[in-house]
Amino acid sequence: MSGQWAWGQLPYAWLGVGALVVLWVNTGLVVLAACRPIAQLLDYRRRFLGGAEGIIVEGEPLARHVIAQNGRRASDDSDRRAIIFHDSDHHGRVAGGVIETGVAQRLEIDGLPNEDIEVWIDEAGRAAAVAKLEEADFDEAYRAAAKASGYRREVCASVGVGCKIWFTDLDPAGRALLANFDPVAWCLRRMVWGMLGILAMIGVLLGVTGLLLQPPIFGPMSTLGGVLGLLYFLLVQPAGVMLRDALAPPSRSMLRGSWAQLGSEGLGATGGQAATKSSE
Amino acid sequence: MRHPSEWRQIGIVTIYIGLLAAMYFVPACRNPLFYAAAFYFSFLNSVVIHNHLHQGIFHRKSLNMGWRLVLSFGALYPASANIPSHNLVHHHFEEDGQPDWADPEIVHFRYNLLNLIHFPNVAGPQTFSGVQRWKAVLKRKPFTRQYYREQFFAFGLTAVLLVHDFWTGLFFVVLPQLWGARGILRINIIQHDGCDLTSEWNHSRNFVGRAFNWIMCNNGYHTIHHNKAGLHWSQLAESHNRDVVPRIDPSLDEPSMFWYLLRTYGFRFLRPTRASIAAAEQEAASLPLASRVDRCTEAAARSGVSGL
Repeated sequence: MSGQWAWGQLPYAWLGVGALVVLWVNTGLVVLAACRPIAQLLDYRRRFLGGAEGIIVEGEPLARHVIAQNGRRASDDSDRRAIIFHDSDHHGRVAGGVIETGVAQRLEIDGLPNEDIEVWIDEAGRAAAVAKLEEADFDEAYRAAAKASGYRREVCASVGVGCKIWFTDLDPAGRALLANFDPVAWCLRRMVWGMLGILAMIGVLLGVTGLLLQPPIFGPMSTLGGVLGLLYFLLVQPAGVMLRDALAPPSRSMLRGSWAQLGSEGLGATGGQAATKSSE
Repeated sequence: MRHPSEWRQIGIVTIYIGLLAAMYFVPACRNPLFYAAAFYFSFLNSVVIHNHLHQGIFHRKSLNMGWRLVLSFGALYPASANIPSHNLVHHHFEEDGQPDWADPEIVHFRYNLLNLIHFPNVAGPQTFSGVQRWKAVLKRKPFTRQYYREQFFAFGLTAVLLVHDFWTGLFFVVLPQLWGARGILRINIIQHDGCDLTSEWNHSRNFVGRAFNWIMCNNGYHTIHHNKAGLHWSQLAESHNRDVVPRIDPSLDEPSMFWYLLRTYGFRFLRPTRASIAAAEQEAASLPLASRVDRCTEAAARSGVSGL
């Protein structure tokens, strides 16, 4: 720390306290914001616990999770042509069918309106739905992606005969849930991740604060705490957003992705899960 | 220089960099007056980034690119990030099927002041991950090279100052830089929260004070800026009065941002509910407007980058 304090100058100690308060308040907001998806997962878990599970015996498909995407031409490089996708809408559709819920127990369900129906399809199911779409003609899609309106597509991940599903009844608000994997365990796992994430944020901040307050204040250890505090401030924000995205239910989590081909020969198309990972 | 009014923007940035340098090198300048001014001018530096990335200040491309380096240091982020995040994505709102990375709805606190404070914590990472996706897939080599140059210059120079004198650098350079960068993100919630983003004219809130707009280089006139992104900032006031005023709800023409902030975030607990605000637009004569995507293609062309 350079220079001696003189009248009229801002004392470094005050500025340090102010910066520390900002760091704590900001982290507090990130943590509070992360509590919201955890509370939502708790509510999902409660609703699924009151539901049932069974095997689809009629209905092809019985339900779908539809992700509307808009693709835009992403590259004019001669060696690689790509379309990048953005999700514009997510919604569920239940067409109806029959579910075997136990020995000699069959449950017939009718088609349901789209609103407030959430269909949770696992990653493999969503990747398969993307791969199926990318069997289409890339050149045609690439041309459409160059237009102002972009290349629009609907990724439909569905569940049909033979699939095991977990589902809830329509609640008084007209909401219903359906999943093709164990949603109760999934919610619990994600809630634990969320809580661990929050604890990690608070733990690291406590460590940084402890280091910052090592005497002599503004000495070498305290300065190391300052460096880490600055890095923490910059990193806790994306960490909060990543946590939010990780805790999003499959009915709302972003698929995005890209569809690329190398050269004009159409080599090296990427699709499904790999495509999603490539751009997220 | 393309327009004589650009001297105002150059003056703003010069004063800002001068304030940072004075506080860093001259202990007597580390006083509340300089400090408050540095925070304010840091925000204005981000306003200049916004204007410069819509229309470069200079005729010569190399000067424009060099100016971006200075601006990037002032805000501690690569100024070129504005091209995808603001010019191409934000100006479209959701018309092109892509959610705005700085949509006011990304924050959900019941206590509205917390939404204002927290907004950059979400909009910032969303913006930079969006820019990374855009950059990685697009492989636009000139854009990417410039983006890295700005990053290298901004972070490199800041790191040198921190290594030389960490606490002085942190308190008198980095904190003002971060304030400006986060402030320009906050403007998104201030200018669009409670507006009708599907409307052609009632999607934005305007702050129409004359003194405010002088120092803010007319960035208070946000509706007309969205609708005519290619219009030079010095012409926004006239165009706002002619084209926007007859078509927007009077509540979206705020005389003072300070009073608006106090009223919306200081004197009330809950977030205001959205009112029906598009009546004036429906009653006024329609004006021919290109689609948002086409308007942004024009804006992008001015930035030297073709549209997505």
